[in-house]
Amino acid sequence: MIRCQWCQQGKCRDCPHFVSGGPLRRVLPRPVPIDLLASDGRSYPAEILVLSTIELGLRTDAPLSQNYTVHLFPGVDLEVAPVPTRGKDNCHVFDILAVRRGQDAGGHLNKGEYALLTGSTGALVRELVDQLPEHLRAVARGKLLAEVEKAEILNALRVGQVLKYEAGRFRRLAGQEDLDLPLEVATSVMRRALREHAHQREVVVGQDRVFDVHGIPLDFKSGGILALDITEVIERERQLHRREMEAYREAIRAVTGGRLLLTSPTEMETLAAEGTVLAEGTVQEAKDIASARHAVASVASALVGRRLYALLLCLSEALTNSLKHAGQGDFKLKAQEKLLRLFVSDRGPGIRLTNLPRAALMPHYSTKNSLGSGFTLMLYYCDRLYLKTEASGTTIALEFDTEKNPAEIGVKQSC
Amino acid sequence: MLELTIRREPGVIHFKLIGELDADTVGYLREKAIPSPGTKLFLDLRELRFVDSSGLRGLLDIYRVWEGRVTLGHVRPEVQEILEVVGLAELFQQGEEGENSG
Repeated sequence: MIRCQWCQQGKCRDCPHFVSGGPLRRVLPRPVPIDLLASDGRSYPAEILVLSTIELGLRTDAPLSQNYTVHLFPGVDLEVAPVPTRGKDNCHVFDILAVRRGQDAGGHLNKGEYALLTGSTGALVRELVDQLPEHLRAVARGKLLAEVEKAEILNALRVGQVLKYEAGRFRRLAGQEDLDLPLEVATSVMRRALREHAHQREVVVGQDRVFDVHGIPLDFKSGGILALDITEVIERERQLHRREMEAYREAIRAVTGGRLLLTSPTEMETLAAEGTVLAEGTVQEAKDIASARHAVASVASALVGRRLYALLLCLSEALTNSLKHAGQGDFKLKAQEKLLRLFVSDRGPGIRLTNLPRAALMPHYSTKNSLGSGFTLMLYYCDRLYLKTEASGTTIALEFDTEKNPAEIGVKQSC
Repeated sequence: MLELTIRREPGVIHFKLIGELDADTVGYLREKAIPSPGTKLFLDLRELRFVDSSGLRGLLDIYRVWEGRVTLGHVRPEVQEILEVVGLAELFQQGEEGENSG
C-alpha cells in the first residue's frame, strides 16, 4: 500500500492500514516476543505488535526478502511472508501463509491461538461489535465478509453460520441513530444468553428490517450482541413464496371456473370490511350450529328455497369444520347490493393448501370416499368461495348472488 | 333439533325424522336406529327440513349397520339434491310408505 510510504506518522501499531482483517484486527496490550526462523537456519528476534487471524504486524530488523517460520506455541508453527509495502521503519506486516498444528495445517490462526495472543475473547467480541459499522462501507464490505467468514473465531463463537447471508449487513447496537433493531429485544436475548451462559439466537422484526440477533456470553456480566440484517434474504424468500402462491391461486381459480379464490389476509380484510352486518355470532359446541343457522335464516330474506338451503348448508359445513379443527368458530352474514357474504373464521392451524386441489376438483363426493369433507359441498352450493388460511387461522367467505335469474337458481351445473 | 316418531310393524320399523339432522342431532338418530335381524328400516323424511354432511354421514352409517335394508321416503327436493350431490341417492332405495316393507 503506497499509503504507508507517504505516511509521516510512523505509528504503525495503531494504524488501521497496517494490519487488515477488519474487526478481527487486534492491537496487543504489550508486544509478544517471537523469533523469525529463516530457511538457512538463521534466527531474527521480533515482537508481535498487532495481529488478525490472517496477518501479523511485527517490529523486527529481519530482512524482508524471504519467508520465515515462527514457533508460536509448542506444537503450533506459523509460516509467514513479509509484505514490504505495508509498514514503516522496522514495523512490517507479515502474511500468515500457513498454520501447522501437529498434523493439521490451516491458513489462519484459530480461536484458541488468537485468544492466547490477544488476551481476552471478551475484548475481541466487544471490538468486533463496536468496529463493524466503520468497516462496512460499500466497497470494503464484501472483502470484509469474506475475511470474517474464513475466521474460525466466529465458528468457535457459533455465529459463523449467519455469515452465510451474503446480502446481510452488520449493524452496531449502541450509538447508531439509523438502527431500528428493537433494543429491548436485543437486551432480552443478551440477558437470556448470560443467564443460560450459552449462545442465544433470535430473529427479530424491527420497523422495516429483519435481524438475526445473536447473544454471546463472555463472563457473568458481559457479552456481545451480533445483529445481522437479513431483510434482503427474508424479502427474497417472501417474493418466492408470493410468486408460488400467485401461480397456485391462478390454477385453483381456473380449475374451479373462478369459484374458489385464495386470498391474502389483506384481501380478506378488505372483503370483510364491505357491506352491512345482518347476523353474527360464535359457536363453541355442536348445538350452537343450529342456533347459528336459525339466526342467519331469519335475516337472509334475499334468498329462498334451494338458495336459502344452500346458504344454511354452507354455514353448517363451515362451522362444523371450525369446531372440529379449532374448537370454536365465528360467523358473520353481510349484505351488499347484489349479494350476501357469509364469513366463517377460526383460529385453528389452517388448511394445508396442498389438500385443496382434491377438494376443489372432486365435483361429487363418493360413498367410496366416505363423504370427504364439507368443503366440496360448500364449493358446490355457493357462487364463490374466498379462502384465507394461515397458521394463525382460517377465514372463508361464501358468496351468494341475490339477483340470480330464478331459472338458473333451480339447476346448477355440477362443474 | 331432531324429533323421531317411531312406529314398529312386523318386519319394518318406521322412523319419522322431524327437524334438522346435523353434527348435533345425528348421534341421537344413530342411538335409536339399532338394527334388528330380519327387519327393514323406513326413514320418512317429509319433515326433515335440513341435513348437512354430518347428517349424511350418519345416514350412511345407518345404511351400513342395517346392511342396506334402509328405504328413504317423501324426500324434500333440497334434501334430494344434496343426496344426489354426495352420491347417496343411488345407494338408498326410495319409496312410499308400505312399499318394500313386507
